[in-house]
Amino acid sequence: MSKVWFITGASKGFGREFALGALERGDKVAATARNTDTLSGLVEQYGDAVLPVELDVTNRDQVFAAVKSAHETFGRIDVVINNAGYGLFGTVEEITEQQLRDQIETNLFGVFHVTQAVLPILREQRAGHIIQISTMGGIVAFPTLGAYHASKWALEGMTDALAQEVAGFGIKVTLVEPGGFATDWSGASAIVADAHPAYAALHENMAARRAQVVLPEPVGFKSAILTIVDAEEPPLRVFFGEGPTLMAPQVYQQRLETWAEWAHVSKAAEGK
Amino acid sequence: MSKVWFITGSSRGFGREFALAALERGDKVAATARDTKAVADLVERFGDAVLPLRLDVTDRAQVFEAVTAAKERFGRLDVVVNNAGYSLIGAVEELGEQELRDQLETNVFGVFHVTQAVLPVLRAQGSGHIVQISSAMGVATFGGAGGYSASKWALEGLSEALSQEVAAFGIKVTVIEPGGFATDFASSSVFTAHRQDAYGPLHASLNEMGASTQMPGPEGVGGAILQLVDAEEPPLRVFFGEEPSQWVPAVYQQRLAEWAEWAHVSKAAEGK
Repeated sequence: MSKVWFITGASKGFGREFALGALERGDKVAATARNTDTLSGLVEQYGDAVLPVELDVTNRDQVFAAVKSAHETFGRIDVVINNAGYGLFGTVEEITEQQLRDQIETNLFGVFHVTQAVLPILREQRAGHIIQISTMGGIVAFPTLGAYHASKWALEGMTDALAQEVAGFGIKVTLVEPGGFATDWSGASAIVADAHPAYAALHENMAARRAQVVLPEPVGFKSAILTIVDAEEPPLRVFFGEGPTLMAPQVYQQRLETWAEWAHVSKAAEGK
Repeated sequence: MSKVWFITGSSRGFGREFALAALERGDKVAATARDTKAVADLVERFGDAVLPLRLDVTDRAQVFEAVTAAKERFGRLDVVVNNAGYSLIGAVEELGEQELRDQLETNVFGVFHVTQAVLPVLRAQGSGHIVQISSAMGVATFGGAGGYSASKWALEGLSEALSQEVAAFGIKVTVIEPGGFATDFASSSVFTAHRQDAYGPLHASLNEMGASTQMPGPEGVGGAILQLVDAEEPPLRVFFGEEPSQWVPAVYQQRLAEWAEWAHVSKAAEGK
């Protein structure tokens, strides 16, 4: 049976790949974007299988209206992909309060709004799959991305709890954690804080590191997401890209070692 | 040489234990609380070694004033303990938008304000130790803790980036992750969202968990934090209490196993 998808940020990057993956095999997609003109190509090609919806995920009322219109148009919602998001670059000292607020507003509250809007429908259906587009940066952290990490780690923590809360309703939850890919995430889509001279060496260092890395294209995202949504028992967490599969075990190992090394202090805290 | 501490939420619980441990060995403490009457006894007992400061950490201007006052009074800041915080409990679907905002405001933005206020001071000194009070729920979580975990995971991601950004200035960062302790954090510092009938089984299991858990008292946390602030190379992360070490490593192993199990999809996303 064909599936009904609700995808935020479907106009470009990963979101567009997901929409194409679904549409190419005959599924239906409610494709949201802040500007629906950017979705006209999809509509031209796939006609009624696409419902273009204007949506800024930070607008809670608009989120609820968008979910309602998708549900009314297609009769159900099977796969919800919270993909809209962006990266804020700057050290913790450099970013402004407003930049941090905006980052959390889109990457966390946007997902929160969509999740709260779809849950009553998915519970009623006793089926559905909520897919959060997180990042490898949702479990590890790099300098100059503290705010981005805050938003994505928050998403990971909230979603981990959510998965345990809704499993009893037949609702599945997956965190997709991409590594670096050649999208405009670190280019046109990024916000960059004003630099503080104290961090000049760090920025130079980071720029040099980025210049060395050749990022893969997200050419396999379509098939990867289909594998996830078609799985009987999809994972709670999955990396997209090979980089994170090499890095995460090392980072986790290091944390486990640090905790073990300082276990005497953990114990002392109990007065032992 | 005696150290100068800046501790938020020092009227009770962990914050009070930290302040007492510092003062009893002759250190100086800027002790902040929303109501300074709650730290009046510290002033009575330790006199000029304590600077009581009225502070609501969600008030950014007040945070900067408090940090300035502490710096002017004691001449420097060695240890900054971001301890003020509370927990919001409820299924993700049950959380009020404002409840989630308030949770992040105190647990993330409060720490952000203090961190931004102290960083110029610590950089100028070429030394200092920022200690964030997170939680074992900042790296793992369970149903009903989505809002709280969102805030603490955010704090963890922000702090891990921060530690890499400021290491070169001689500034250390430690994230303390307590398990359950018998402070009034477990009672009066918990805010419970309005419950929905659909989540009855979750509420029952939360009630049961609360009733069955034997928690240690916080008397040892003062001695434990002294070991951290006196360490030449303090850890980035440390559990307080033995309980987190009994389940968090297993959660980590589970995640690693799942990532490995789905590595073929990670690879497929790159078109491999």
